Amino acid sequence: MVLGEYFIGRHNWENVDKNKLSDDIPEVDEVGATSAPLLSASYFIGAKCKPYNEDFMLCKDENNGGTVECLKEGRRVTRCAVSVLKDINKYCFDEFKLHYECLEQENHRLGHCRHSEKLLNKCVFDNLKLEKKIPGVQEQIHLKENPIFQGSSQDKSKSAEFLKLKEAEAKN
Amino acid sequence: MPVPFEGLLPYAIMTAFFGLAGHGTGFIRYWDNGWKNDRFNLDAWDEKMMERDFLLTGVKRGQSSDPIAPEHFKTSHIQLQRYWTPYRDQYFIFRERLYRGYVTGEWDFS
Repeated sequence: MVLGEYFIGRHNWENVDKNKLSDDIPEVDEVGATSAPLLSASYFIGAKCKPYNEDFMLCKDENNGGTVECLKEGRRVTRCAVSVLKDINKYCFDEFKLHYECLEQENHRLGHCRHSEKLLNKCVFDNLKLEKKIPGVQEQIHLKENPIFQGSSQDKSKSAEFLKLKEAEAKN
Repeated sequence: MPVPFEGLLPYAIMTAFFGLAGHGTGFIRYWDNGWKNDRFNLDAWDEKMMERDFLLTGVKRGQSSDPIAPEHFKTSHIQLQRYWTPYRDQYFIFRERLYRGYVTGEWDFS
C-alpha cells in the first residue's frame, strides 16, 4: 500500500541498536543468576572482585560515565562475578540454595535469614576462603549472636533440618 | 449471667466467613507467587531485578543460580515498537484482512 508509508501505526521496529561494537571489546557471558542468588552471593562477589570493581568505578569516574570507554573493565567485572558464582555453585550448592530460597520467602531481607546465612558463610569460607564483611560499619551485624530483630521466618527450623540431614549423610 | 450460645452464633458465622475470605485470598496469592510470600516495599531496583528474573527464567517469581545466562537472554529484551495512534486497529492492510478472515468470513480474533 502506498498510504502505509504515511500511516505511522504501520511502522514497526525493534528496540535494537544497529551499531556494532568495536572488535577490541571481547564477547562476555552474561550473569545468569537471578536476584535472590545474586543478593546471597553479593558479599562474596564483593570480596573476590574488589580490584575489578574498583577499577570499573574509577574508569567510570574518569570518563564521565564511561558508557563506551569502560566496556572492557565492565566485562572483567562480569567475568569475575560469574567465576564466584560458579565456585559457590560447585562447593556450596545446597547451602546457597537454602539461603536464597529463604531470601525469596522473606522479601529479600537478609536479617530474616541469618541461620542459613551462617551455614553459607561457613561453607564459603572453608572452601573458597571468601569472607563476608560489611564495609563501613561499627559492628558486623551477621556475626551478632542475639540480634533484637530476627524476623519470624522458618529459617531456623529449616537450617536445623538441613544440618541434621547433612550430618546423617556424613555418617553414611 | 451466662450468654446462651444462640446469641453468639452470628459472631461465629461472621468470624468463619471473614476468615475464609482472608485466608483464601492469602492462599491464592501464595500459590500464584509459586508458593512464595508476596514481595512488598519494592523500589525501582527491585522491580528491575524482578523483570530481569522473568527474562532469565520465564516464570513469575522464578529463581535460578546458574552462573551463565542462557542464550536467549541476549535477545529477550527486544520488543516490537510502534508509534501510538488512535487508528491503530482500524486500517488493516489487505493481506492482514485475508489473514484474519475479514474477507473470507472465517473470523479469527485470537
